[in-house]
Amino acid sequence: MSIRKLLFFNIVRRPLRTFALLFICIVMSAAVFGGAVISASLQNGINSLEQRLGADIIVLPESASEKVKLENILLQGTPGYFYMDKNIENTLAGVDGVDKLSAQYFLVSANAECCTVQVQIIGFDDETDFSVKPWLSEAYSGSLGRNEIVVGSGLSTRVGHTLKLYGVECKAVGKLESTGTGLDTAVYASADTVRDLIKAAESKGISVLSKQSPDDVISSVYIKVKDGYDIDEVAANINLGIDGVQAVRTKSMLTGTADKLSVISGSVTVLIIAVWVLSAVIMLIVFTALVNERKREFAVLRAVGFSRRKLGTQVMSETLVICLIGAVIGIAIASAVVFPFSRLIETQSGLPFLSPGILTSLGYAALAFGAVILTGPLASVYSAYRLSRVDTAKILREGD
Amino acid sequence: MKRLIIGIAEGIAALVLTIGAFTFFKACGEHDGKFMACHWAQNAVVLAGIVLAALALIRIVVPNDNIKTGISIGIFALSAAVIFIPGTTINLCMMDDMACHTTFKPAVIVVSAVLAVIALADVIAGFVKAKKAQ
Amino acid sequence: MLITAQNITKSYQRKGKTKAPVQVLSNTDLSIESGKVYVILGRSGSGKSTLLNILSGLLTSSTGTVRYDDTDIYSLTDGELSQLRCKRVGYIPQGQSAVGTLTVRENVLLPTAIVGNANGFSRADHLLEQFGLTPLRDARPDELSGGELRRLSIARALINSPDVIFADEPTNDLDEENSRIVFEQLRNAAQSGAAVVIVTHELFAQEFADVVYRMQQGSLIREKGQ
Repeated sequence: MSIRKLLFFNIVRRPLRTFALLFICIVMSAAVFGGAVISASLQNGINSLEQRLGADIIVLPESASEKVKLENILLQGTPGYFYMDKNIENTLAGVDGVDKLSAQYFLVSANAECCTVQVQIIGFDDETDFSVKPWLSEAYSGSLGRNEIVVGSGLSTRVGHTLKLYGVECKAVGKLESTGTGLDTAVYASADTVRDLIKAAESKGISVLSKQSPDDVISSVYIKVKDGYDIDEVAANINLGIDGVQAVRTKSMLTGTADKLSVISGSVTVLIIAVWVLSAVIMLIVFTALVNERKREFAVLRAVGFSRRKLGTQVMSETLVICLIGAVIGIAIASAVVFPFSRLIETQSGLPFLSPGILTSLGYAALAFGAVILTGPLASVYSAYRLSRVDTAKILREGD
Repeated sequence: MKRLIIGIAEGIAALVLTIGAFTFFKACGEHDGKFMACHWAQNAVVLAGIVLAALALIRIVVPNDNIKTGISIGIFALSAAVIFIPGTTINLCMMDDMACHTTFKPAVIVVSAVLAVIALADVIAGFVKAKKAQ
Repeated sequence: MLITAQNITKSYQRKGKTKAPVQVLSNTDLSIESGKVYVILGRSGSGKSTLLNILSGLLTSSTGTVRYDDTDIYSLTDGELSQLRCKRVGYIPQGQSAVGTLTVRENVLLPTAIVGNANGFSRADHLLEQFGLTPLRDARPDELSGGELRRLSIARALINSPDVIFADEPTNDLDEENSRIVFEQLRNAAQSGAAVVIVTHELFAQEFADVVYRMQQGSLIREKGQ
């Protein structure tokens, strides 16, 4: 017989009490950890989208629906396309304050080889590009050749493997980092490749979704503004000076999403705190209620020769052990939901959702762990005090 | 009694895996009479799920404790293998925002991992009991 | 001389409005020697249990001293006193006192959890045999009868081979046959060298005693023995 065994028996042989406390600990740690990771993933997602676009201003054809289409491409991964005259690129280069600019051409494949789904194909200019190449996680050397493509992280195609688009075998030479957005399922190619794809589609009788060639049109232009220039002013100048286009600040395009996100993050935070406080209160009530039930047990221990300190330690250790186990289970459950199903959360919520890295996640796990193993023992301090001060002589005389 | 509860838990997890794989967390399904790549992964999971459910049933019915433990070792091994069916052994669809990636794969991984853990717990409980009986 | 209690008084503050103090024990002296059975008789409420709890260190007296050999127990810290109580004192409380989460054998072993006892297991098995509890060793207390529970708490009090055993109404809920068995066993413990102090209202307990006291209105009156 040892104190440790006594502790073990007390936990194992009172299954109902143990399960009730365990359950509270599990709910608490799962809520704190899951909530923190969800909040962080949303924040991560929008940050990565903002960085990923890399541009201060995006220029699109002038029509409300085009902006919505772009947002859908970026956030939902819904393939889309729209065009404007290619000369606009040159006109834009002349606008005062424009530092770098790069045009992109959007094309939507009717279907890809394996699955009957549409793929967003983005033609970009290898030479001027500043918004695709910085995010290559597996880089290709030199420039993008004919029938060579770069794929988003969400596509299963591996670097070195090929992907058949309109019957054309395209070799994946690069893969981009994950953004947690619709950009992850896009295919990036040079203008030459896009031209080939359109030709291939026509020759196969597949109705191409656009008859316009990248020789004549572009879909959007990404602009980086020179240092010292006001981004809003440059955008306003473009809107006033060039017909048929709209210049949108990247930030303002993401504002709607950011607002939605801050509401969700706020709700998650409130929820975490509510669960935490509620669990703490329930624990406090449970422990206090247990004092009366366990008085006799502790009086016996005292009579047998347990010191007050040992009695208190006994109560605290029981709580601590249950909290430790509960925290581990809770974090495991939350992990099993939040990490594997992150893509589902993203597609269902329409919000960029990018799980934090291992270190950050471990940090949140430590936070949830700490929250539980502090709250539990704190909630039992009072009952530990009461039980260590039981009036042994009186309680043992009270009979059973 | 304890082992009966574990056995029932195994059975439930195996049934959830089997039925779920073609209902509430099914893969992408067919389009225009064509099956997508992930369909075969789904079939494999359903087949494995049926075998697992059958094993779990035998595990509950058989009276001998050591045979129970043996069957649970099998359940553990098979359910651990099922974790690697979607995406690793059998390809899923091309884009990771499709149902086979967002729902089917994570659900199969989680359910079969849970089943593997339960089976492992049963194996350990079986060995402990066998040792005590000696 | 094992235990000497000198000039013990104990008074309680009443909890009601009057808050008048109640004197339970007044100027009591008592010496306990090894190998003897002491029986303290008295009506309920006469203060005999209070005296027992003071002697065993569970309760502190209002005035006076309690010494174990040369050690004044009031000079000890709670930890030291608990240690001393665990090693040298076997305490048999009134009523049911088994821990519900432990088996009979584990309950008997309980005191060894604190001080450790290399021979704990063999001694426990020996005591279980001696008290006829061997068939029940793996049972939980809620499966035991009153007499069995009583024998369990005596076995537990003996596990660390204490110098002194205090028994508070050890036969309270037992019939005479079982009561006699209990007294017999306490008598045996005294024969193997321990001092035994029994508080009871059973008059036939005197048959087993070396020294008999009667507690009357807070004072001890010797009735038998030197």
